[in-house]
Amino acid sequence: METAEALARRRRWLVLAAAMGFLIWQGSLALRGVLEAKMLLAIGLIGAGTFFASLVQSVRLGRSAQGRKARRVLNDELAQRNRLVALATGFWAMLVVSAIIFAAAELFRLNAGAAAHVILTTGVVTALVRFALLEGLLEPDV
Amino acid sequence: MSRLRNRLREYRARTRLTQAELGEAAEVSRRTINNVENGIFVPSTELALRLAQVLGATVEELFFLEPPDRAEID
Repeated sequence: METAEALARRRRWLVLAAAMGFLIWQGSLALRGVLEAKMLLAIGLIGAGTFFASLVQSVRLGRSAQGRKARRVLNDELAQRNRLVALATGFWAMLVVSAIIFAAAELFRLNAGAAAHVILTTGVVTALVRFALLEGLLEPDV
Repeated sequence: MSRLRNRLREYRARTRLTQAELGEAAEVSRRTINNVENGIFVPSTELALRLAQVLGATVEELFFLEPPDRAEID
């Protein structure tokens, strides 16, 4: 049976992989017209694949019967608090980017779809990265 | 303002438990125990009671409010 510690370590990296996947996926959509369509499709598929595969894997962590206790430990109250803090950080990041885009729209003509992409991507990626960091991504393994 | 302090490390050392062992007994992660010991995370009443039970102490023995500094009062 995998220990809760090992599962937590795997989850941190899966969440980071999901963030990077989402960034690549949305980045490929934002680069339409800049890069060749086939290349963008390939990049987008890699990004989306990484995002969804990482998300599914992180949800399935410790799903086996023996892993039930480890899963409870994995979702203890510190993890729940970290999740809330990460969501709040993502929300604030979206607000800040929205304000910047709002101000920039006074100076430049901006595409609403592109603006929505940037806002959404910022919120999702910031929340995921923040959660991985709060869960000790940069801390040495004990 | 008074601050919440704890003697978790002291009581854990008395019972010769590692952070991981205490975490396992209280069904939380080693990181949670570490965060509580360092005053980074304030546990819920339920977790405080579970920790006290595992360590054979009362919640008041483990957690206490540090009185505000004299200077702060003045």
